[in-house]
Amino acid sequence: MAMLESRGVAKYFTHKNQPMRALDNIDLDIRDGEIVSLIGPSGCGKSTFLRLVAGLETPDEGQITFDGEPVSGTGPERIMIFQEGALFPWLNVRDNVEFGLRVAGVPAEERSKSSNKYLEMMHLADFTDSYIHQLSTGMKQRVAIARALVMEPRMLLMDEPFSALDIPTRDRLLGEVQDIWMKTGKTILFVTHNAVEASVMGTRIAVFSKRPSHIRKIIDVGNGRPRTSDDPDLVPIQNKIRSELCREGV
Amino acid sequence: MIIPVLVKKVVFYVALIAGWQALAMVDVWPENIFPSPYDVVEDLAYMASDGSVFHGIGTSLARLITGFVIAAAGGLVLGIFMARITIVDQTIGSLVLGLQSIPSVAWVPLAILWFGLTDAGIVFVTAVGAVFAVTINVSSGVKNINPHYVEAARNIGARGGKMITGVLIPAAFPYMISGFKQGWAFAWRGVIGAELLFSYLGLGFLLNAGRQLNDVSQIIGIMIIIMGIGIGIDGFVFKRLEDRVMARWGLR
Ligand SMILES: Nc1ncnc2c1ncn2[C@@H]1O[C@H](COP(=O)(O)OP(=O)(O)O)[C@@H](O)[C@H]1O
Ligand SMILES: [Mg+2]
Repeated sequence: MAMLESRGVAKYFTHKNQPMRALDNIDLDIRDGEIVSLIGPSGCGKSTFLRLVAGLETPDEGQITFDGEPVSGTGPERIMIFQEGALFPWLNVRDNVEFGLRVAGVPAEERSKSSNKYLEMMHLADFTDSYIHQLSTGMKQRVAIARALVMEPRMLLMDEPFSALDIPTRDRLLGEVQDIWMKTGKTILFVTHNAVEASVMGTRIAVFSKRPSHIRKIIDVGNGRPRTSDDPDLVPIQNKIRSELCREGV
Repeated sequence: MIIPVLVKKVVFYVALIAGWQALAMVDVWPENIFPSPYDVVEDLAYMASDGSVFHGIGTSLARLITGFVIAAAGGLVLGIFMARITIVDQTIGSLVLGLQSIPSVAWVPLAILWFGLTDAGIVFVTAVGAVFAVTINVSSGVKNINPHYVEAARNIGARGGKMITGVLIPAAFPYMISGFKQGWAFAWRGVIGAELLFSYLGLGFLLNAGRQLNDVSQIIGIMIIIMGIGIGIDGFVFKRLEDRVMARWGLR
């Protein structure tokens, strides 16, 4: 049994008073400790699928199970990292990172022990008192990752986390997230619209079709880590992704 | 040449008072109808020496603060409910918009019949005049919260009361401040209006007493105090609060 199993998942939205089938039929297994990249044309429903896995929305058809249990609502084992971080501007970096622990009633001492660990891991130790607007986009994403990691999730759901970053910062963060993965063995579902990011991150890459979407193809990348965006071995994989996306007409 | 704003203001007010003094000195109108600034200051000094003006300020401020706190708390709760529960918005929300259009002094007759000529009656008028402005601002503030804040918080475990105090209130706070500011302005108008009509202590009562005694300089003196308190609290309390929140959020 895979850690996460999506079976025949469909999701509708209303668009101009018409039902719009966003996700058609998503079948996907994600095994414990994998990084799966999701890539697809913009608007095909990648974020929607991630939100279903997070439990922020419910499928209209089909089922998603986590460890064999149907997903019904959010849980600390599946934590989402939003595209723009969704950090709280009224809290400083430390309080952002500790937010989930505070809400769970974790005592202050334990809280700071845990937040220190992840603030350090994300190279944020010198920024704990900063407010969010004082940080660069890359630092913001580090805070968002630290805020997710303190919850000790089993699966990280990352929705285009690096799409707003410049290339050098993105490359550094691609490396750091792989480091975290190697240290902690987290399962990661990594959404991107960028073939390079998808190939660097993914143990496997799931290519979504256009809306109403299903999974068009799954590409195996393998396990050599850490990988970098200029790795020549990844070029054929990137070309394969691009040709799959091309056949979708994008 | 750039003249500092403060200098422009000082020059303007000095000219205004000098003009007023000159106009009073040419004796177009009798002194009891159009007193000079000097007469007003003299009258204020007299009311200060017998303590009546301080008593009036204290009474009005106590009513104002009580009424405002009730309005702020009530508006906060009602506004959050309106923003988060559709049926509350569709039903009570429309009533709130209607009630907001009633000027606070229009509540005075009802307040007198319900509470008699008491402090409670005046506080009621003050609170009811302010509560709907707070409610409407809080509600639109909460409705405009970036939905990702709420989802991220829910994902890391925030529910119910913790969602409200940990996310909804702080996230909507920049909006709420303008609601409180507006509520405060309505409350101040409400207190003075109610005191005038109740004629039961406070600055509004002193205005009314001035009318009954044909004492125009007392009336003008009290009006200047009412203006000063209005400007002072807006400038010191709300502006500072706003600046601090905006700076923290990086909005300014
Ligand atoms: N809450 C919603 N209400 C209506 N339509 C939505 C909603 N969320 C997403 N959609 C629509 O569903 C489609 C898929 O959206 P999304 O999952 O954000 O795509 P992606 O992340 O792949 O770009 C888009 O057409 C989008 O407009
Ligand atoms: Mg998206």
